[in-house]
Amino acid sequence: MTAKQWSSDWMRAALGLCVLRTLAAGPTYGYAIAAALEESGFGQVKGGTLYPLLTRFETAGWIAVDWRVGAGGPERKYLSLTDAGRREFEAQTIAWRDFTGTVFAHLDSIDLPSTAAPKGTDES
Amino acid sequence: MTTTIRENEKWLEILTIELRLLDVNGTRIGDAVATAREFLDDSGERAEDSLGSPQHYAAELNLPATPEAAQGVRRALVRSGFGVLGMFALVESVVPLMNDEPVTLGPVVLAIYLVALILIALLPSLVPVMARMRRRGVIIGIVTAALLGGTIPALLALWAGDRVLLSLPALPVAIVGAVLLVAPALWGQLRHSVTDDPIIAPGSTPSPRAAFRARLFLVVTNWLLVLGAVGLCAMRLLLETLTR
Repeated sequence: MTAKQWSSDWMRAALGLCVLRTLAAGPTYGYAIAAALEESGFGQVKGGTLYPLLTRFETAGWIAVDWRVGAGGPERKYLSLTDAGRREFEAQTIAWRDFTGTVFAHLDSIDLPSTAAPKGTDES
Repeated sequence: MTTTIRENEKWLEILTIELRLLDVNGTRIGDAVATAREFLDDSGERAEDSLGSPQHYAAELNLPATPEAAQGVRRALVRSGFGVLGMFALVESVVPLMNDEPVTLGPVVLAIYLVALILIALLPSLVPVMARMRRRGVIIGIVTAALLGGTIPALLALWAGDRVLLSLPALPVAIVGAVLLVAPALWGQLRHSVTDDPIIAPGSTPSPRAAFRARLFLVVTNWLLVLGAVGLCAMRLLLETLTR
């Protein structure tokens, strides 16, 4: 898939939900989340954007952390959705669909109210 | 590749300092550093490119500060203040004690000691600035200059002449000075304030080497004023011998 550069405002708005969606598939780790998002067409998600978000989710109790330690020391920090995280994901998904539906409805509307000022209204 | 690994390790070291400056506890720091290292190992990217500057990244993580950290700083400050007062008293009384004379302080010396105490009060603001100075030579230079600064009052006292604002018997001043100097160092030693919160990587215990380094750091910082006082007393005695 070709790397696409989305508007940073859009990415900021959608990234949290998309990360929750990635985690909903099962326990995973930071780099795998970034790779999955890139694979889905979001472009490269930098660690400096991803980890503060994951830390916020952890503080909110939406994700649980499990360090799977190997013989040579710490290896991977596996993250998984908690029950609260799953509920949050479902709630945010419904809200997002509702919001994007509203956006699409507005974009596809045939009878848009005219934004142009009616002629003569500013003439007294 | 080796350069990237070296740069990343340096970046992780700075991240550790930044998180310490934000009063994050050792376990959380260990977790944050291991997490960043894991990501960098997986991606093979330069930390600066992938995670941004250590200072910005540490702030963005928004990890909770240890509630007792501010209290610890205040206590350390009070200890340092007493220690410095003790050092001043001892350094000023060593020559009069040898000559069986009272301790006399002029306006210049008192003003300099007042400035030194103000600087100690400003230490919580100065330490982060010094910690962010990556060049150790600069830090060593500042500390050396501060220690050598203790000899300035002796030279200025010679220059200022005989004007005396305060005259006290030498022996009690020396005894009080020694107590004020040694007591905070002993208290700090017994408190083990650094080893209370070591940086622990996830799933591990502090290594004996790291624990030894932490203890060594604790001993050196606790007894720095005492060592400085001994050095300054020796300098005073040497100056006294030379000016006679």
